[in-house]
Amino acid sequence: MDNRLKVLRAERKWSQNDLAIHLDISRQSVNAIETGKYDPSLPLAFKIARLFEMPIEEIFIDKID
Amino acid sequence: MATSRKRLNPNNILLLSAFGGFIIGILNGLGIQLPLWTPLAVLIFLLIISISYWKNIDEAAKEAHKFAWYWSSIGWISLAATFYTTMQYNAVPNSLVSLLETKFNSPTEIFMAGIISSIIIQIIFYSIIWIGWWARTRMR
Repeated sequence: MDNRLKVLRAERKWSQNDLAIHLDISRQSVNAIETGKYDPSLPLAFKIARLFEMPIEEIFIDKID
Repeated sequence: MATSRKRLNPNNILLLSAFGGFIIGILNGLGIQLPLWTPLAVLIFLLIISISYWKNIDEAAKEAHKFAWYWSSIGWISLAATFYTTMQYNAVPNSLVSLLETKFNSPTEIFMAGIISSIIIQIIFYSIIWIGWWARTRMR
């Protein structure tokens, strides 16, 4: 699954570490999500959506679409 | 939905575990006779460390551990099964048999060496796969 996390983070001039602190996860996990190596759970995806004040489907893009 | 709570630093939990192992190693190295309840204490200590570590890592870290656990187990079981099957044909080299006989004084020592080597091999497999899981995120 693709995602726009890196772009959204860059728009806010946040480092991976800044985003990790906001989400209460490790910087390595932010990197894993951004690179598409790991797809977050639904609770974490909702948390990310709330943080960026966007619907989940605008952050995470299903490759089938 | 899960609520967030303040996490302990998982690295500190691992450091505490390493410190515990270090203390046991030092005592053993000094030839100090450990009390009979030591194995039970080690078991309880490891359980507390493991539960605490698991509760304080995030979901991607858990995923890496699950991946490493599954594949290292499969790898080690396959290797052990192959080795065990090979032994059925009396294919163990004589040099290995004589090495075991000279190196160890009793069947108990051979048994303990078997357990320890199993643990070490499993840890090596686990570590390689765990490092590989995280390393892949850096290659993209």
